[in-house]
Amino acid sequence: MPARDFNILNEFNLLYLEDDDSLLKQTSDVLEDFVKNVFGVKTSQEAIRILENESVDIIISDILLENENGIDFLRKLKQGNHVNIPTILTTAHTDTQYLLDVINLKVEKYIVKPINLKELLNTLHDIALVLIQEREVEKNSHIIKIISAITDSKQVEVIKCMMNNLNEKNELVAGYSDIMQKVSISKPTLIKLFKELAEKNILVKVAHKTYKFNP
Amino acid sequence: MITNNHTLESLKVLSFEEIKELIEELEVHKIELKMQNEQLMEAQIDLHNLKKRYFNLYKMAPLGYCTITKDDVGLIEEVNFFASNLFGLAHNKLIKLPITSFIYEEDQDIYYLFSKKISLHNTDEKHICELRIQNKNGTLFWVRLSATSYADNPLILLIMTDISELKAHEEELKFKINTEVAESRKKDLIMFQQARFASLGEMMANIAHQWRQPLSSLMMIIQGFQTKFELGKLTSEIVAKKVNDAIFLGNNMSKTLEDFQEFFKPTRDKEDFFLKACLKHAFYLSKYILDEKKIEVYIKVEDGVEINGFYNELSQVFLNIISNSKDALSSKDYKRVIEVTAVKSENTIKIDIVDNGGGIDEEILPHIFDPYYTTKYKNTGTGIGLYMSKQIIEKHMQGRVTCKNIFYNIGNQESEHCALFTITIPTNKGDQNAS
Repeated sequence: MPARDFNILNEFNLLYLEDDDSLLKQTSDVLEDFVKNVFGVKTSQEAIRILENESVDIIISDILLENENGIDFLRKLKQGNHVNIPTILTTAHTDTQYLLDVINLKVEKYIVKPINLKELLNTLHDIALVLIQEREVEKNSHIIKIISAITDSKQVEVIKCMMNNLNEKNELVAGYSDIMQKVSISKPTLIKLFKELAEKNILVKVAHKTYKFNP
Repeated sequence: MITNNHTLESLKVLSFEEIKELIEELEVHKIELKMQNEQLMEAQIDLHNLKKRYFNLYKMAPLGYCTITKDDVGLIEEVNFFASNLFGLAHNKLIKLPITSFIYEEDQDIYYLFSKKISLHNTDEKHICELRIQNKNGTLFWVRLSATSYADNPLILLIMTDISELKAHEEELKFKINTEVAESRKKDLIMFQQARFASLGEMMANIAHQWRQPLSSLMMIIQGFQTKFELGKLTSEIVAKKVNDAIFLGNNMSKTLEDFQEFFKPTRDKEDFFLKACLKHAFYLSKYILDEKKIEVYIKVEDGVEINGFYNELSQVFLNIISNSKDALSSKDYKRVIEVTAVKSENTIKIDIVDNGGGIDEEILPHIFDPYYTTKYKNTGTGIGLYMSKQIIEKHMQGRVTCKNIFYNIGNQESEHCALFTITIPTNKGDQNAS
């Protein structure tokens, strides 16, 4: 496994629930070096206030909080408020009852105390990586939307259609008429588009009705 | 036979008729004499039979009969077979021997006192003693001597019963009782040990709970050093601060250990201590479990109430009762409460411990202090806790512990079914002043 780049964490906000003052402080002190902000709280009420006012990317919560249960809090959050923030649970318990509840809540990780910092950081990194990728995908789809808004939308549609019909060798096996059946575009425009893509080495004809796609 | 003067005088002048009459008379006398003789013979036979019966009764009786003189030595005057068998000497050789020569030397004093008693109370009384006879072969017998003496008779009749078997049984029984008692003492000790182990187990869980969080913090501090170092953020200020934090945590952990160690110190002498402190200590040691089960505790005890006794044992009693209440409460989903009150009267302190766990099953209630009686699963309860509590309160503190179900308002606005444990401990004011 390649070494993780923990720098990716430094744009994320962390909400950390732990009712033990000392552990809350010590863990926050360490995590602050890696992430943008650590919002350390002792109760679910404080946690909800943070969630209302700050943008929280990842939650770390202990199962046993003062007078309440971290699992109940998460259930309310995920099922009641439809907040879907990736969550790590920490606990001193290895009770299977808790484990079943946790699995049903689809939390990202269940860490048994004392916390192994490497394990926690790796988990945070992996969660962050997924978040970054999701954001990247989202960003790209935004870009495409914007491009299609400012350029000829028909061409974007054709490219989308081509992308959707690529085979496992990244080849498009189709003639002009096949595409014209799916997208309402005039033949001259289509031929012009293919020619342009071929000139830029993006779409290379390898055989009859077969084009290799080089992104 | 015929010495009658009248007869002699008249003999000279007796007619034939008269002589004939006299002869007849003589005949009658003769017959009468013969009859008398026969009666005498019969009486003699009867006497002989009686003598034989007496002989059988005295000589052959399965009891020792022995007639002795009424003095210190007790010379044997008459003795039967059973007795002579006991003494191990033939009947004729025993006569005029002192009875004391057959009494086992260790038991001579018993006989001395016995003979004194007989001579002092010289009435028609019966006296009894038990002692050992050592016969001529050296064999020892346990006998019961029962003496009858009469004021006008210089002899004493001793009845001797062989009670060796009885004594052997008695000894055997004594031995059996002693071993049984020792055995049961040993069992009690083992149970005490087990009860202590059981609380040790609970205490271990408590220590583990109280250590877990600071241990987590400590490990976080240690791991933090590494990440701070790798990021180049490990300044001497941070090191100093973190070391301080770690020392604080470590000291607290060590204090927790001391608190629990105090509980397991072996019991020393009785001491004076405050009831409230002892109660608070017990609740402190159970704190984690009570917190976990969200059980509220109200201790309504005045500060100055003092008890003389074994601090650790009493706190163990409280721990056992708390543990019992905790088990009853943990399945309940309303506000769970344990309340302790204490009332001091002239000679006693009465401690009431109530929980609103619904009370105890009426079928279980009479057995709640029985050893090895548990309603819990095998791995959670040993069934000794409450038994040991009773032992401690009754045997070590001369108090009483009882349990009953009550309907009581424990602070939830409404009366509920509650279990009430009452401990009554005498204050022993007088004893304390004496010592």
